[in-house]
Amino acid sequence: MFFHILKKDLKRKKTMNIIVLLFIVLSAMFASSSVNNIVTVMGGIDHYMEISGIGDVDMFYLTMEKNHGDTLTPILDEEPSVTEFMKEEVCFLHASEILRDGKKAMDFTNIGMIMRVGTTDVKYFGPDNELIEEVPEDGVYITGSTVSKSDLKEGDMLDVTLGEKTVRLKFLGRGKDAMFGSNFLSNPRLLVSDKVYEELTSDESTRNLRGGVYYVKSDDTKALAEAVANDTSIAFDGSASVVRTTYIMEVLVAAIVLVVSVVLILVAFIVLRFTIGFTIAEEFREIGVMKAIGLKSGSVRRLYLVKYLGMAVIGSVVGYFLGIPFGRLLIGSAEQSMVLGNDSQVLIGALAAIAVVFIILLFCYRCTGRIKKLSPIDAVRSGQTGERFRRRSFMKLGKSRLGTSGFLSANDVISQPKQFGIMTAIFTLSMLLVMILANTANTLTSGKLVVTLSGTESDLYYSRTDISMKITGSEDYNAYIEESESKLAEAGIPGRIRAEYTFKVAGETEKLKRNISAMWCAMTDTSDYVYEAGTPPKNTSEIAATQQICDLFGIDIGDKIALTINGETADYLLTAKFQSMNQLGEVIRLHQDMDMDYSQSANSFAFQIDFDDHPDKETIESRKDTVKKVLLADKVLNVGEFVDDCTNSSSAIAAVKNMILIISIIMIVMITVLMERSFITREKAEIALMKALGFRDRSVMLQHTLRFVIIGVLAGLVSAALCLPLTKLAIDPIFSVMGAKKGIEYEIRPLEVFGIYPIVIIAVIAASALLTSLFTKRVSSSDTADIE
Amino acid sequence: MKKILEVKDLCKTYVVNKHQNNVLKNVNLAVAEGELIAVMGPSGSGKSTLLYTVSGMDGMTSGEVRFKGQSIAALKGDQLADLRLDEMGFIFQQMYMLKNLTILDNIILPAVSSKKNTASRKEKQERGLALMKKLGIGELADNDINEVSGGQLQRACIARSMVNSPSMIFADEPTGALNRTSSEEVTDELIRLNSEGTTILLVTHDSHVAAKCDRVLYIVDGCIKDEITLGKYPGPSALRDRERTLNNWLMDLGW
Repeated sequence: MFFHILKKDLKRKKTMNIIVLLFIVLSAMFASSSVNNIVTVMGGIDHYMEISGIGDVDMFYLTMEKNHGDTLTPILDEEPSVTEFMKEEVCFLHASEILRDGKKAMDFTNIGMIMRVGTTDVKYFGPDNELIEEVPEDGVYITGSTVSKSDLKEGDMLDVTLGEKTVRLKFLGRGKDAMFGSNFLSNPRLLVSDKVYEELTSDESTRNLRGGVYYVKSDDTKALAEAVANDTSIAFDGSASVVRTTYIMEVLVAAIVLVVSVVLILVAFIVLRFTIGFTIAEEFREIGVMKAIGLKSGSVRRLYLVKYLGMAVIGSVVGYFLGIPFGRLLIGSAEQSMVLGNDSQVLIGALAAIAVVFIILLFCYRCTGRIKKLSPIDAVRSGQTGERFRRRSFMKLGKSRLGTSGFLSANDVISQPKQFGIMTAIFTLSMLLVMILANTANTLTSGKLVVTLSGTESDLYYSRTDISMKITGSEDYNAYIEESESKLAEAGIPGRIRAEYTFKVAGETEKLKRNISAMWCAMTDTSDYVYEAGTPPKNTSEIAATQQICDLFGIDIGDKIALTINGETADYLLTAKFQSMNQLGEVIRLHQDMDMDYSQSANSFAFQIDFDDHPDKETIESRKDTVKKVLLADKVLNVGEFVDDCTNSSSAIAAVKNMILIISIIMIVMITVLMERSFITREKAEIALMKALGFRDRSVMLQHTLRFVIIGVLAGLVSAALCLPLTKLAIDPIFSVMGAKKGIEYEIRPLEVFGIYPIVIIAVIAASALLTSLFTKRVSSSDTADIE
Repeated sequence: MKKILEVKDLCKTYVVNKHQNNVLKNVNLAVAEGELIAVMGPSGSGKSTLLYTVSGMDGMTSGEVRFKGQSIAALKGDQLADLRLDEMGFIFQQMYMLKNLTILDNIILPAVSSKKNTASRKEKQERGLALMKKLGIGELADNDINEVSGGQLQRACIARSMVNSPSMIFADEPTGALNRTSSEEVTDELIRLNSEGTTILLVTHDSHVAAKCDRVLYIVDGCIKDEITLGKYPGPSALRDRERTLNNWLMDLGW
């Protein structure tokens, strides 16, 4: 008898049962894939560092020997705080030295490196996360995000030149490099075989291009910092945490995956809880009848528990398998420059799916809890009239100006706040995710961040890595600038050219002695930069610094810090504070009149052009080609493109945003279709009644569609109101880690953020609801006779 | 008197599990304007099916139904919907109402939806209130449907059926779910409505209700087996005689 009732139930309430089953599949799919992703993302960087063999490294250094030979190795050998260190020998090269069919194969402004693998314990991985143990003699792997930005394909033949030697190598794919492979650093490394490396570096002319990457383990990093403070060959240094921090953009993407995963789990369970609760509430009348004929509460409850157990098991198994490709889709964007993964994916996925079964049974157990308390007649009545004493109607048709369908839909939404509120919350979450990511991606390409990167805004930026490497003194620099400005003038677009340089200087206060980065531009007045406090440095004995530097050295405006610049140590007065995302915010700014040695620069930014005639944006864009031709530039960028090029992450964020938009749309379509389908099943009596009273099919469809449109619009309004504060709340900490401690000004594009995305989502909601509401046509006025 | 509803050779067949079930078999019927007709018969005889088919709520298998001279079969879905909205009223055994609306809003809903009813929304609301007062439920206008008794709710359903001043009201066991007192009240309202000129075709099991009707049809196995004309109901004093006559007739038919 028990199974007979169950069988009948499954058959008779086919639609509702299928809907619940689909929600269970969704929940299991989201849960198994998302829990796995959460575990993967949480330990993501540590896992990557660990398998790369640098998990326990304390300090990293990149040196440029510049004909001075290896000066760091002797220091590390002597330094007692160093317990162990590894050195990878590298040779520097720039983009114009990697050609495909005679043309530059890829564009990069950061310095590139060529090296061999296997000389240390540091591991590199191939495009499919495979360990690169040996590079074939005729092949090359290239690491860094620059590869993804180029159109390089596996199998392409590349001509790599170093000094006088050129070798032809087959491109084997994008390699993954834990040290320099993050989007934020993105110094490409060419991994070649021992034979090729030796051949390329055999030429004496490559001696000044040599350098090293050092992985140092130390039991006293403060002592180590002091020991290497005066080594000017160090172009980049970073602690383990700094290197991990360079993965901030990957972490951002991974964090978004994590948030999306959590949201998906929440959405699935909220909808599931709601659907099960509502399905069981609909059955109270039957429960009453069963109790009235003598079935015990436990038996009735068991009936539903068995039913939902069966559905939960089937749904979870299907959901688990669907969750595997879905999880890969989610995590894929975060895995481009990292090797992510956990060792227990199958187990975690299975546990999550099993948890879904238990959660469903728990929902069912709670929802059927009332069975025990209700008398048969209570249950019968409850089934018929629902919550008897709760007021449902809030609007008045007589006083409303809305049409009937509009009124009924608005009244339904207001009368069932819990049900429609949950859907509004789900739609709001979907919109907010897309909006926040759009704001972030737009900010990264807007140019608003330029003041925290190079320092000043210019009309155009262009790179000439070959020139930058050749400039060894003020004469070279001034000559190049003069020549370039003349070329611009000859081309009819006169303008001023300058470039920001970064130097490694030793800083010392009572609290700390260590190497720090100093930014300097001979041709930009220090008062032209943006400061957050104090007054700009007015002479060569004054400097500005970031809050991070102040915290490190324990100084504030008005204090002095000893700096060793060009071999001379002197006290400098801190007069102002500024924000910078260079070196993750650990930089100072020197006065423009300082006499700096270009040959000692650690890094240079792109050359900046400010046209004399202050042209508008369109004119600036039209001058790009001329600048590229006249100045033989690698690439010419406007301010937005320059910021994008520096942060190297807007495309990743935009890709994630698009993925989230697609996932949101799929989720919204599924939820709308399933919810509307369940509404039609539940409201069959009302639909039939309306038709019996003379409502046309399209009026009923319009009412059903409008309910979803109303909550879609509500979600749009709530999202628009929360968009900016939540963007700041979610993204400010990311930029703070990158160096912009005080937050940044976001680029809000109203048409895109408040117009296009909400309209697309509302249109999807409306279309899904409208198409599903076609099922109301199946309910006819004569169905009033069949309503129980 | 002018015919409002004419039914000729009406057949309705359901096919369930490959079994043909002829619910209505060549039914012929004519209803004059202003008539109050009851349809009686045993359970499963096709009473409700007859009501739903002649009102256009359900399709017919064959035959012809003319409402005010117009063939219902020739009308499309939307035209049928308009006909039901403007020319017909319906009362069901279960007091179906939209749960999210107040009693008054449920009553005026067909009026607000009607394009033919050109009165302002305020006038429609006033008409709804007037109908409620007339039916003795005026104080329940702002109540939710779950805050009133079954009898009150059925009277609200009657008010809803009347709000567009239909030519004819179809009632499917309107007192079936009510107690005796409520049943009396609802029947009296229908009689009063009929006395004001509205044609009513109602299905009932209750001879007490049927005794107040002008004519009673007896349907068995999908065929109208017989009918009895009782004439206009003059008032409670004639009820006992009419009921006796009706019961004798019903007993002769095997009721």
